[in-house]
Amino acid sequence: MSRIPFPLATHAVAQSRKSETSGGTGGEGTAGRLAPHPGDGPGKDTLRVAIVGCPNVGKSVLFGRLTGRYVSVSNYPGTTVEVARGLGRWGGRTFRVADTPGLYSLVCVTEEERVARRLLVRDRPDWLLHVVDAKNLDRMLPLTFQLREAGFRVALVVNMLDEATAAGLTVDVAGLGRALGLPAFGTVLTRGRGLREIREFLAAAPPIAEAPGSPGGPVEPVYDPETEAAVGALAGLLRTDWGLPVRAVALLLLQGDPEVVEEAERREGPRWPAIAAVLARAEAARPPVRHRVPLALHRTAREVGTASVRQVAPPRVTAGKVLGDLLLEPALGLPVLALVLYFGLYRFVGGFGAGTLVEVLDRVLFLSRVNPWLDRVVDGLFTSPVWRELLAHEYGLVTLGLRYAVAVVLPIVGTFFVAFAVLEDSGYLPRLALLADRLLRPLGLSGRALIPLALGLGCGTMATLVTRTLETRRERILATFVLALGVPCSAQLGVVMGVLASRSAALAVWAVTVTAALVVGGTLAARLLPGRPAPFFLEVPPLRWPSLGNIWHKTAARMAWYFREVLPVFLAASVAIWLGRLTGAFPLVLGLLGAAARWLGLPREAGRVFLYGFLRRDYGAAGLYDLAPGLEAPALVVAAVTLTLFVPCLAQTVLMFRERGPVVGLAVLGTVFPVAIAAGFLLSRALALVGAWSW
Amino acid sequence: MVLVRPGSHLTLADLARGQEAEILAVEAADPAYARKLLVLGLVPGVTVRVLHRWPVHVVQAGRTTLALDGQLARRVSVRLLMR
Repeated sequence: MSRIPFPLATHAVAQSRKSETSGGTGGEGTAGRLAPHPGDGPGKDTLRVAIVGCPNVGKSVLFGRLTGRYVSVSNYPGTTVEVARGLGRWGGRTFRVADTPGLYSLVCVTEEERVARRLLVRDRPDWLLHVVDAKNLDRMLPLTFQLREAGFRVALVVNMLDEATAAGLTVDVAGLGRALGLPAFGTVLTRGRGLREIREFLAAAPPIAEAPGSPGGPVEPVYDPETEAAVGALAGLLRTDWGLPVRAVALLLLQGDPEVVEEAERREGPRWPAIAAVLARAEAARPPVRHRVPLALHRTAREVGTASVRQVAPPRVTAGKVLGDLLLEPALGLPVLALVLYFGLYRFVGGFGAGTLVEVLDRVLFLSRVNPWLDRVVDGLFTSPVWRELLAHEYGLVTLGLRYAVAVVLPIVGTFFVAFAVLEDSGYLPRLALLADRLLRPLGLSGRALIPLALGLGCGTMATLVTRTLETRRERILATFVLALGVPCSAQLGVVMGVLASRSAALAVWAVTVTAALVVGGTLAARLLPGRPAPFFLEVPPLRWPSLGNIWHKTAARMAWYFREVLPVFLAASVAIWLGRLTGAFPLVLGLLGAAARWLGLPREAGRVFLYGFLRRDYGAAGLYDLAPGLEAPALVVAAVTLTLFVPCLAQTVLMFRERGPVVGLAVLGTVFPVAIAAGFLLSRALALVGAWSW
Repeated sequence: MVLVRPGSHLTLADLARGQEAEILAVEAADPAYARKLLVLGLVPGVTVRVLHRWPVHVVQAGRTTLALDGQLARRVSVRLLMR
């Protein structure tokens, strides 16, 4: 049997519970992935609901509408690898709602899909809300059949009826529900249409303990006799509790799902040779059973889809459709890309976020009011300089830690998240990825990698996490490397822009040097790392008006996540600096880095900025802010370039080691550090050579 | 209906912009990707129209717009439909 060309990711599900069995290669999550989660039985007044479906159908909108707020905030729709969970209360019941990553089919290809499947199998929710796009029922109903085969209780949410109407279609939602034997709801979730019916239904729906599984409907997928014989043979051989009906497990095995095959070999032990023999026979059949199952699912889905959807009018030509098609034209798409980058990133994030907002919060609020006031209060309370400096003054918890987090980083990252959410929700991001595919090829990356790379312009730590959505290990490593080397995060970007903005030549030199280092470094890495480039494919969603509510939801969720993650590190960094100064360890490290800084033609204090830059990339960037007034333009550019290319921040480093393992982590760090110093050195020499050039 | 049909020569990558074709097969040398393309709507029997060839291939299959690179497009065998 041919293997899929990428290894199974072995890291644990982000928010997974403890697995029931241990062993395997990747610690938690490798073993017992498909085992049901014991206990956790809900009462009559609590119902557990999971929202499933493929990407871009409105799952997170439904989640936001049902829960009202994000409780577990770690959700990046479209780039989701983690699971958002929230609570809702209505009709005298509490609903525990989970929003799962995009799932196209129960036979998983991507890490996102595996995360979603594991969640469903472990949690056994009382009800699944399968959200489908009303325009593309043929494509989406195969998953509905699979979910039912897997013993879940499924209600169908036929969403985006407005887009279906615009496409000239009428959808008989009630007829569809009857044909499938499932509750079905027609909705326009962005406008809240159909939501009341879903809530009323869930308020009265029985928990799974009372009525396990969904009853079969009048229309069921029919498999050929050879497939059914193989299913029957496998069903007789599967004896352990998979948490799924044996028929569903048999069908997954026959479709060659690598995770399930591996699991079967592990848990069915003595029966594995017999199972493997059945699978080999099924594979040898012409056509292989592996292909017959999805085709049967699609055939049935098409029958049901054709019966319940009718074209009653020609598709309406909407502005979104015209614009969406136009943006696929490279001749127009590339200039638009430039405009989006200029207004979205440079003007909005760089100008408004890093300029106006930082100015107001940092200079007006902290530097001229909060800090002087706190210095006086703390000086009045403590006589020892040790305590005075822990809380206030130059490196205090509040005067430095809280100030950087709230006044410098928050506005920059916040504005970036708003801009990113607009790009995501409008459907522009996939169009961008498509145009970027050719550009990223030399770096060994596909257009898909644009999403983590663009996110890296917001926060490198988050972006490193999102590289999980890439499909091959090779691509994940290359993207991690590029992110660590020199994709500046929004805090760095904002500060660099703020510091260099008044000297456009300096900004240009910075941009060119960093880009050159990225291209050279990335190309070399792609050449050196063995393996083939990842194939690129992507569904292009229609262009849509982003809903303000959803943008707010996403931005708030990401800000909360970021703040929860960032504030402790900022405060810890303040304490580390305080301890370092107290014990005398810092002066030593600072002396070394200061010497390196001198070598680059920078003042010694730049060494301090580099050190802080490691503790927190954006922290160092913020330090540059303080350093800037005393520096000449060439020195400032060298400092900015070195800092941008320098090792990623502590949080990103930790995540890099966690996600990619120590070997890749060390290799990346070992490459990035000398490259940053070398680039800074070369640049400082080059600038000295053209020293006569007036800035 | 078969998924693999070694005899056919024309692939999605050979089509010009604006041409329409019927999907005959999605090669299974790489089962995960073949399955993915299938799930995205490139099912044998479906009619596709080529919207773009550069920087990647963009096709319309039913009401789905799909982008794929040359590497994958060459794995989809098609039969050209007269227009």
